Amino acid sequence: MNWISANTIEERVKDLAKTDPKGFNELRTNYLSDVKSTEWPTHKAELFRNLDLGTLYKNTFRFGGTSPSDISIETYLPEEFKSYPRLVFVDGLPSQTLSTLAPTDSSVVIEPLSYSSKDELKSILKQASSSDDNYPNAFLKLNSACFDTGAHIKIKKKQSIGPLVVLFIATPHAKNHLISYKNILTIEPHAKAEIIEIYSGSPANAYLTTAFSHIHIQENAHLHHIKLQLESNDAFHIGGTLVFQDENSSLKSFALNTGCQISRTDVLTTLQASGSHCLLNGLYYGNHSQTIDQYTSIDHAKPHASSTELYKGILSDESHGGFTGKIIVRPHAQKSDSKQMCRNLLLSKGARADAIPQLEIYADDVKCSHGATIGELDEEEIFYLRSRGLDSESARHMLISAFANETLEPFDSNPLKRFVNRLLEQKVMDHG
Amino acid sequence: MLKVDNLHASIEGKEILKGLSFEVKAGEVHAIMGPNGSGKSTLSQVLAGREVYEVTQGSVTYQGKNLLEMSVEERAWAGIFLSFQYPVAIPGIRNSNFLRTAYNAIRKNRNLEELDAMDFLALLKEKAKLVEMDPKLLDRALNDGFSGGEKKRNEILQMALLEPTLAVLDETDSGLDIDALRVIAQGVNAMRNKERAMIVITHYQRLLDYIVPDFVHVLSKGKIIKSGGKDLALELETKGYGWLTNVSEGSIPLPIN
Repeated sequence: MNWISANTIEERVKDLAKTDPKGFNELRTNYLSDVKSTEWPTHKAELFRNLDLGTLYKNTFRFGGTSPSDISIETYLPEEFKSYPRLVFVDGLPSQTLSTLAPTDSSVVIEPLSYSSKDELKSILKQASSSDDNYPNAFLKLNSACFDTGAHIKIKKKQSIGPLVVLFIATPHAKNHLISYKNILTIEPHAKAEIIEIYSGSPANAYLTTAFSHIHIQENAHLHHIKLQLESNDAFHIGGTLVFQDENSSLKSFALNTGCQISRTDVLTTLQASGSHCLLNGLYYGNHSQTIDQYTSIDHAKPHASSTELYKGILSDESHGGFTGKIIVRPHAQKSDSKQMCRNLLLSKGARADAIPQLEIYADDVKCSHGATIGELDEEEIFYLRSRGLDSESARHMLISAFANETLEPFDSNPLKRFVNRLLEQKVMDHG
Repeated sequence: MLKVDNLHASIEGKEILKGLSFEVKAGEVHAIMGPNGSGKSTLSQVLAGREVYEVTQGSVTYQGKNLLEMSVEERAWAGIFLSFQYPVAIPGIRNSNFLRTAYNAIRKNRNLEELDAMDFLALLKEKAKLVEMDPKLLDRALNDGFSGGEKKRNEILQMALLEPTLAVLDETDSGLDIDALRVIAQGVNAMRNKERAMIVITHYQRLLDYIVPDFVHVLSKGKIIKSGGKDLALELETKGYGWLTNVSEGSIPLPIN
């Protein structure tokens, strides 16, 4: 496959090594040999069993340079989030002019990756090494070999920050580019944060984003992590949120996937200490011939941790949605409590959904439940709503919203709810 | 207001209504009674426009227009309201939001001003008193976990909000205890006026003690076999449906050898 050649990747690593202000060179070089020998995954790879990447491999990607920064932010940032402080990246590089960060004191760090991020990434990756085998993702290796920037966020002890947007824009200049972001987030003990990652691209633009967020939520810290994948309809996005949670920490994750021809969004968390809790919710909406795949993994590594998970898919036209949900309960992780549910709504005859729960339970005193459903809109419900004066479109929209909104219930963010519902309305109008 | 003439309707090829005719004028309350399987619910669903039923013959004229050519929502906009025998429950839709969406959809199509959330809430609270509905039910998901009586109150509340010209009440008494029945009948009676017509569909005469009809029609095997005044309902109560249905068939069942 020559969708990206080993030479292109090697040149990229060398280019970045010429000046290495952030000190990531060693890490990139370590991954380079891995990437050169890697086989790009097909459906034979366990982690990509459900996902046909054929269309991606038919493209040829290269690395790009700087893009003009005179773009209008309104095109890429949903209006609901415009009042939040934001850190903005354009076509793979930070944009100071579009970012609107209030000056911060030493209690928080919000910046594009810098020299100081290196040690943090190292310490996060050190935890990861134990679980690498569970997540042999070739695109993560590619990302680690080729990344130059991303967001570096650190919330120091007992500090709390309100909603913060990290916006990744792909302009028409990014055509056929491979864009790599690596984000590093540390939430220190007793700190709190809400971070909204938005990936947004101009229409009809084929590029590939790989974006991985490495997150460490330390003891008694709480993170709301929201990822909105709104990339160009012709783009490709392969990304993941990789989390490690310490004692009594909590993670609430919401992942919305709706852009791209092919997208793959993963959320993995390791509950590596007792009392930790995660809630992973997700919503995916496909139309045309989109393929939207999600993979989640919750690793109960220590006793007395809990997790709940609700993913919902809405699939129209000829789209294909996939969900694979892995739950691991390690041998000593007694009293683990885990609930997983995946529901899918098919809006047309040609749409398809796959839901695959994967439970690996090695402890005996645990509570684990899982379920998956695939259904259609209920004709009787539509009739009921229409008999009360809602036209057919409004009735369908109301039912689809009702279905989707359950995934948003645990989140307090009204802008998020307003945005998702506006998006749903638009999608229903365009595609039913 | 409504003229049903020789109406034939079927579902999945099976004919349920077999030549039904009756006429309703403004201000009138008509009761349609009949045993199970006589076609009562089919009639209500056909009037509301349920697409799974196919009208194969006959006509329905509403306010001079061909009702059968109107979509479900067009009928609602034109003032037709069906109170469902089994209202659907939809988790995820808040009752008050649903009620406001419905109210405004109908207002909009009647070229009336839509109400904002605050004004609507005031109206809703006032109307909810009419059916003695617990205001907490307005904040819950639509009919989700509602008791049978609560669902029916919610139906009549919708009727009070949407102010239909022709209301079809399908087995509104089913599953109600006597107190709930009384409250709901009061709500319905409060809405009776010279402009509004109602079709009350019921198996039992009991409801008609509370909502007293002007006319009673007996439906059997897809046809109206007898029409009369309110006394016909009382007669049915004492005699049952058997004396009428047998007469209509013109035959007495023969013993099988």
